[in-house]
Amino acid sequence: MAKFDQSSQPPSPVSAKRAARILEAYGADPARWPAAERSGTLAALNKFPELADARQSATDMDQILGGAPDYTPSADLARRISAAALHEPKTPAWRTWLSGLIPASATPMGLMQSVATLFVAVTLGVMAGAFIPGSDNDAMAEEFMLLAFGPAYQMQTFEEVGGAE
Amino acid sequence: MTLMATEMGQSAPPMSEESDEALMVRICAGERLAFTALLDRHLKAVAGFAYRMLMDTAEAEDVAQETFLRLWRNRNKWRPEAKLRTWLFRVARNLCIDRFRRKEVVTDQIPEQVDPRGGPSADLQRSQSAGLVNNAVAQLPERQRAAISLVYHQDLSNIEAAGILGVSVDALESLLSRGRRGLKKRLEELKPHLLEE
Repeated sequence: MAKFDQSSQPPSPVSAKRAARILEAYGADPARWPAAERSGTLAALNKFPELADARQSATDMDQILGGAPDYTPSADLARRISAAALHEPKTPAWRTWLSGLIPASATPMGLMQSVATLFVAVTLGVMAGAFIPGSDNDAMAEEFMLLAFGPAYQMQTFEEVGGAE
Repeated sequence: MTLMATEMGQSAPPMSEESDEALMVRICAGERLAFTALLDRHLKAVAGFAYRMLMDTAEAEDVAQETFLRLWRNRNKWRPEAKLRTWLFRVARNLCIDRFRRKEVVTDQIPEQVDPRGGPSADLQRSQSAGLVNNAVAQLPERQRAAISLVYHQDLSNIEAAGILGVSVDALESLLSRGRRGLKKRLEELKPHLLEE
């Protein structure tokens, strides 16, 4: 519970109306009152005797609310949560990477548009690769390897490296 | 004895005295004991809040569990400027609201009235009175119930409670006043009986 503020500073004045409002909202226990108005409300209660009824009413309601027993969770709840956390699957690196790419403010519609654009681009790429005529896969591979490893490279067939009897 | 004390032995671990922020830094570094320390510190309050909102022990514990698991899952997204307790209560409240919505679709039954202390040793009369108070609280609108639970039962400051509910302090006071007036109206006939105890 909030500690009672025993400040040496003089309390800010609190009107009778405001003190009644505080009693009605927060109850009669000064520990629950707004810290900045605590001293002023106490002073107002001493100053305005007409607040006695409001204070008694607030005390009654506090007692009723306090009659509800304090809730205590099951003894093993903490252990269950701890065990469940231990068994939580670790976030895969790709998800962490992906979440870094997608801003938190991204809308579902915006994400859908991005995914659709990516899908169309990949599909067009695959179709272009499959349908462009005249491509010689072996020749292209040979050229790629020559570029990568230089003229010393000579492509060997599966039979040449002893893969077949 | 707390869960953490059980795990660490009889001596009080210094981690239990660290601030929430320091513990979150440890949790982000993968220290599971720091998570246990946070559980020890906040579980009762979060589960208690969920119970006051739902008036159902099993559902309250489910909400508390999901709240802390979300904290664990999202630990790397936590920023030091965010106050942990506020975050926990806000998540718990949202989970409670989700459950209200689901219940409204299925049935509009009054929440069960369970004496959380339970057991045959609980004083029957006191339990009945507590049940009446809980029933009256359960009939309050959600925001009034949350405001009363946060300020009265969880002893949060008006500023923190207003932050959790996403309202101004003035609006919080209005919720509290209307909530207490509503309770008074419902309990008017029972009040003399309740005050005798």
